[in-house]
Amino acid sequence: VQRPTADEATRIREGAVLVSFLQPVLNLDIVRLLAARKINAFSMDLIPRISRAQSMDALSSQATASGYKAVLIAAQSLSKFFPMLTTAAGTIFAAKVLVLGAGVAGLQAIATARRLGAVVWGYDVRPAVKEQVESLGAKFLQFELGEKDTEDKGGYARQLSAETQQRQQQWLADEIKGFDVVITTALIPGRPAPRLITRATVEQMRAGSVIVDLAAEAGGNCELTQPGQTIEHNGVMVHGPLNLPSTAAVPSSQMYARNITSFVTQLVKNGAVAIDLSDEVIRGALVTHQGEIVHEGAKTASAADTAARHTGESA
Amino acid sequence: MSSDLEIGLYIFMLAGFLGYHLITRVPPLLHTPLMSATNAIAAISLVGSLVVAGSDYSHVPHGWICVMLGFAAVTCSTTNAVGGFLITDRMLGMFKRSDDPGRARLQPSRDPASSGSAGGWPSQPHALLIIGAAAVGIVIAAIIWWKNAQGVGAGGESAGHAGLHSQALKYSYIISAAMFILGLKGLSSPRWARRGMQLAACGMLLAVLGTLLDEKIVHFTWIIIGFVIGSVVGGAMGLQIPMTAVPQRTALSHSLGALAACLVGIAEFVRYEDMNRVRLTALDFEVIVGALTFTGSLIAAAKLQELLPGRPITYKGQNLLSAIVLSLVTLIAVYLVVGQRASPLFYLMVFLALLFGLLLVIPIGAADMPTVIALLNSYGGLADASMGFVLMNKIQIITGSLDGTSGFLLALLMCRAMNRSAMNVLFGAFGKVASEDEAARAAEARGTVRSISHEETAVLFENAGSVIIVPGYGMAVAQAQHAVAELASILRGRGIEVKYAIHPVAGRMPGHMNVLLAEANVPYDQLCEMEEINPSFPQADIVLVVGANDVTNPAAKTNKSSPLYACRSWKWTVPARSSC
Repeated sequence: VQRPTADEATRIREGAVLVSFLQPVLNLDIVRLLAARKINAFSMDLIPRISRAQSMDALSSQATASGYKAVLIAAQSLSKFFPMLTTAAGTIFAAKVLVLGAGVAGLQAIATARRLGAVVWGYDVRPAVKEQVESLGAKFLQFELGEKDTEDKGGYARQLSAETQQRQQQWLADEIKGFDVVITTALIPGRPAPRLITRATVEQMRAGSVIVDLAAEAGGNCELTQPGQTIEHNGVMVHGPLNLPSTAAVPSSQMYARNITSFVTQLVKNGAVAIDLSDEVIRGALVTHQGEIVHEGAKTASAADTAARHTGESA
Repeated sequence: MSSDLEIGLYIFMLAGFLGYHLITRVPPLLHTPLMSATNAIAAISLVGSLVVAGSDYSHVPHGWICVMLGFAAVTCSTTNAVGGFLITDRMLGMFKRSDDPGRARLQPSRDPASSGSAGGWPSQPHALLIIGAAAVGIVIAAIIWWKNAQGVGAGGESAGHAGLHSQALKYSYIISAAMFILGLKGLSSPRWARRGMQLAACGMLLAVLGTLLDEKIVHFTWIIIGFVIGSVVGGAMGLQIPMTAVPQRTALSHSLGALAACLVGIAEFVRYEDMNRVRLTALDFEVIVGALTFTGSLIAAAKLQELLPGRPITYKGQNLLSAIVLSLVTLIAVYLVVGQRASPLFYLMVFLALLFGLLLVIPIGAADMPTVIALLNSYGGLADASMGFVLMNKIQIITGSLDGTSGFLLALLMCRAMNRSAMNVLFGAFGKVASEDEAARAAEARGTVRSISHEETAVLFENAGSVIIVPGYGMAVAQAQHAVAELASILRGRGIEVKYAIHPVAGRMPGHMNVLLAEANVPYDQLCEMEEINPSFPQADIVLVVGANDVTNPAAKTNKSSPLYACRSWKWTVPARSSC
């Protein structure tokens, strides 16, 4: 599932087909190595987000597991109930949950938190998502970004301008104070995760509140996030879990297996591997082919990197 | 004469309004039966044909031509009437609520309406039909015998009896007109539709029988032969034709009705007695409209039967040619009226009108044919009405006007139901046919989408045995899961099997539908995934799609340019839509 290490990559037979999560732009070295070894490498995270490829979309299927688990982590470490309970011993108010970033993981988190009885709000820079958040019965936090085109053609978020980011941080800082749980899932493809929650914001939150940062791997949406660790800051728990799908191994593996199966079915024709470059899905996911780096983003990144190195050497 | 004409015009106008109001109440579900029914009613041209066929032409030169034309007209319109009512009745039989659902749904019961005695014994339709036909035959024979007897014993008394005849005629017409109107009114609900049509058939019978009493009719030989041939052909057509071929049949029988009108007009022209301009105008109109409806309907039928290519046939200078033909027809008609002369130009006009009918329908695509048929129906009705003016026959004016307006309105309603503008249907192909192939193919592949009202939906659900609900993102956005679940539980309560078909990519996140339906307390065992439920679609009576457009779009399978191409879609049988 995870990308091969350099050692593993050298052991793969030449001309073999590799299907993995490569994230080529961030892992240029391994991509170059694979190209040099003439391995036909496909990266599951590059499969285009078109309807036909939904069954192969491993990002979505794994994000499903992440979103679900993130809520459970939050519920576990929150010192309150999620649902509202009116009892003879008084009324316990429901926990307020804010989900930042309403992609697949975010939506799943919203749905799960709702089912546990919390009051759930969602937020995303892409205005189209409002409807999706509301379709799950959650409320949408409205913020005038003053920016259009916040969504790329695959439906992922784009990076915002520095100024807007600043404004958004400010506004979120005010909003977040009232929440017990904040789950952040904001990611921008091929870039570090946007910084949504600053240290100052965390310091304003109530003690006992919980932040679960699903973007930990890409640097985290919260300034305090330590990837793979849970820290406590002013009584606020900040979780930065890595590889959450592995904590729900059975369904995650089941879904991933389905994804791989439908992808490989596309690769194989009449019992032999046949890489059909005219197929949008296959072409999109292909990183290295016949010794060349073919993925556009990886190619430019590689060229830029090489150029940078040359200048570095000549200097 | 002039007061007669005035009355005729009033009748025409009022009947037109009545037709308008009756038809606005007919739900789209019943549009096809309605089309067939108005078509059958348009066969009132039979009445005029009878007069023409039965009149005494001894003092008219070439009288035999008139008789022959009348005979042909009687045959045609009898075919139209018998076939039309039979098929309408069969069609409505399918809507019938039945205590034994298996049979009612699968096999339309076939009790004959034309015999007039049709009650509710579908077990022996043919026997019943024969009995009915025999009864009608006896009545006709009795009338003939009686009239002959009168004729023999003519002398001094005949004047008084003639008065009696015309009285009987008048009342039979009034009653049958009422029956037609009630019959059309019945079509506003599936529950009464059948009864209504039977009533209309009785009305037709009554009108015909009444006409036989008309003192103008003296010869019966050809009328009887026409009746017999027409009934046999029409009956066979009505009973044998498969339900899927109904539109073609309607078009065909319609062309017969129009032919009858046209022929009667020609016969009248040949006879050419004391034509004043008004009558001549009506006559011209009758012949022209009859002729163009005849060829137009024939082409429509051929297109629907796929004898001709269904897509719009267009060629250069089409508009020009049509315009020229039409203006020629008009010119000749005006000349004839002004000149008040029997001229061979009349026949040229008929020919040109036939040609124009051809030109009118050829460029229209098969998908729009039902609308065209409805429109031609209305032309047929107008032809009937003008025949009524020519013969000063009030029932024909009433029926023709009723038919004319209702046909026209029906055409408009059908356009609206199919999301097409009327101008588009009529003239769309005249102009430039934009990306012709693609559009035409798409239109054909799509089949016909009909919108149905809440009441009809309720009726459909009431009669269903199993329902599959296909929810989609639309349901999520509308937060309709509770409404859907409520509907499902009501249906379950009535013993109807309800299942949910969850498409793997329904919604905007994995498991979207599960989350929502679980929230609405839908038990997990009612949720089925695609592979599991696909085989059940053919058995389902209703597939309710709630906000799931793309997963149900057949273009996902066939159209390569569709973004969903090769995305698995439902195997798809009965598309029923609802706006929940």
